[in-house]
Amino acid sequence: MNAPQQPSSWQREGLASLFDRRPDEGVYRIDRSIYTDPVLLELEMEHIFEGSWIYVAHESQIPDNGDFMTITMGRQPVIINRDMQGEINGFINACPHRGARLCRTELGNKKRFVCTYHGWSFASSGEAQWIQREGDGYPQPLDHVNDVGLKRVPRVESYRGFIFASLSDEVSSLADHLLGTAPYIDMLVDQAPEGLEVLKGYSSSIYNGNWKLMLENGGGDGLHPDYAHASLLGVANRKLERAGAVQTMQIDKMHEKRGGQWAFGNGHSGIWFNFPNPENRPIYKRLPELTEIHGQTKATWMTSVFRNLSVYPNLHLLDQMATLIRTFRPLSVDRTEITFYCIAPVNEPREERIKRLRQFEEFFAGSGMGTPDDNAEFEECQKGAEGRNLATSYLGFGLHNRHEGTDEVAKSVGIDLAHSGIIGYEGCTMTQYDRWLELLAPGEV
Amino acid sequence: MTVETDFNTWQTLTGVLHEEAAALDEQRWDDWANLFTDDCVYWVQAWQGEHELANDPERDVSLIYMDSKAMIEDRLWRFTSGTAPAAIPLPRTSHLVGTVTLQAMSETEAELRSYWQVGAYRFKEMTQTAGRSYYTLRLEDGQWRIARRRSILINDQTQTALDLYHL
Repeated sequence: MNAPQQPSSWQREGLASLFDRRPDEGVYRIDRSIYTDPVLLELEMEHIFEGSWIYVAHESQIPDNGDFMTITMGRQPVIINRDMQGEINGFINACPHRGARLCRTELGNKKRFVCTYHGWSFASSGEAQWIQREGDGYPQPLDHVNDVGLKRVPRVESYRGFIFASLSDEVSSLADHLLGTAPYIDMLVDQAPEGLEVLKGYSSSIYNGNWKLMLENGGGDGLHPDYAHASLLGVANRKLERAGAVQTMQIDKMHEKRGGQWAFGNGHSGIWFNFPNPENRPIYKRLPELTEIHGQTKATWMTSVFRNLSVYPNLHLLDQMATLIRTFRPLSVDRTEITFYCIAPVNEPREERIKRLRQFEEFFAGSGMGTPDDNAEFEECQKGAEGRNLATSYLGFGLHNRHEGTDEVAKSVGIDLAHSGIIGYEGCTMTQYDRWLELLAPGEV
Repeated sequence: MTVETDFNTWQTLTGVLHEEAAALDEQRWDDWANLFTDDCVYWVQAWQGEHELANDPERDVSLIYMDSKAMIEDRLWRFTSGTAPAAIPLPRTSHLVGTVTLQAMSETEAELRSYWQVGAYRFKEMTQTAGRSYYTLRLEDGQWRIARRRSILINDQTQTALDLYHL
């Protein structure tokens, strides 16, 4: 039997006490128990993954009526489907009768959902269609929507093909959630005149570490590539010697390039810098036609600028060394699942598609040459967080010379920011935990 | 479909598969790479749902797709360079290769299918990978070499890392 646990210091002093937040002095310290405390994970499940907007799917993954995919929002099994009327829905993936999961495969197509336990069946739009012995088994007629219909995820909305959902109805509009990330997403979607699609075949990976380690890394750690990814940079250099090789996008010495890191508000953040070798990107050939449609500034941003976007809490939309959706969720306080989907313009020419695939596989698939090194570092951070005599992380890089509000570069592409800084700016981490506190302890902020 | 061949040829062909496994487990990386032809294709397919594979490496995502020995050597260089955190330290591995069948045979090419299970031990924990591979071996300068290895990984959700020694 476990000994009764001492209450953590934050249970006495409040969640804000986990952070030493003095940005003007260049000080930002995080108590590493945020990665190890299972009580905090329960709060995150309730208030973040089951209490606010999260990313769930891309519309191209359920193109036809009846298509569905099964996901998990927080702790809850969920079906995302396109019903026979073409509407996109979210339902709790559990039969209203005794709770058995209705859909048991990762994806598929169903005109109706039939529970294999007792045979209850439901329309793709959620209302019950057939209940065993409905006529003589119950004293009153059943309401096929409210009594025995599928339980809806209260909020399911798309922004330009990217589907977000909330298990709580008490959330802002999706636009108020996304803020300045919306025009950043536009720069990806507008590359594809016939739309973007998630390509067939996906990759999934698990690391033994807290979910926020992935979030922090993709949402603003511009300081790690020269070290954690030194081996991939070495591979990139080897390939420069070989004619015909699909080249790697160059990300070494990011801080020497024109670029920055952005905090959009609501915990969203991003990294950008000018690629030294944009001609190796599959979209680069489209620069002239994109310039005609969107003007030179935006077209250059779309084709030639490394862009990481982190939409709090579980989406990384990357248009950089490859173009992909990376989404992640906690399995436990020290275990996280990441899924990688390569995205591409519909009807992309063959040569460009091949380049896109090879760049995705090289770094980002769980079997690539980048992701495993990030995973390994997250696992080491998780182990290191058990070193309780060293309780805090020493953050604060670039806070002292941050820029409050929108900067000139962001303005040039129509983006509103909360604050920004140099490559490596750890204000991106700070903005994530500002959001974390707003959601977990609104009274304390 | 399986085809027949004489015992010595059979020993030679399956010997390539057995040597491939042994070279990985014994970390004889150069020996391993030299089993491949310069223009080899090394492909690990991605899944789309429980029982459908992404089949076109020029339209769909693959888990690994390399179409030259030089790309294989890049990966080898990476995980032995001492600069890749996922490979510091490297796991110990043990390959079990079995149920090998000869699917087609000509003077200079042989197609084989094998099943494999790999245990990888790192930080005192064991991870397992399992799958099957479709090989094309080609006779080059008197040596049978791997011209193509297409692999289907059963447990495609990777734990921390998946690299060539897990396959």
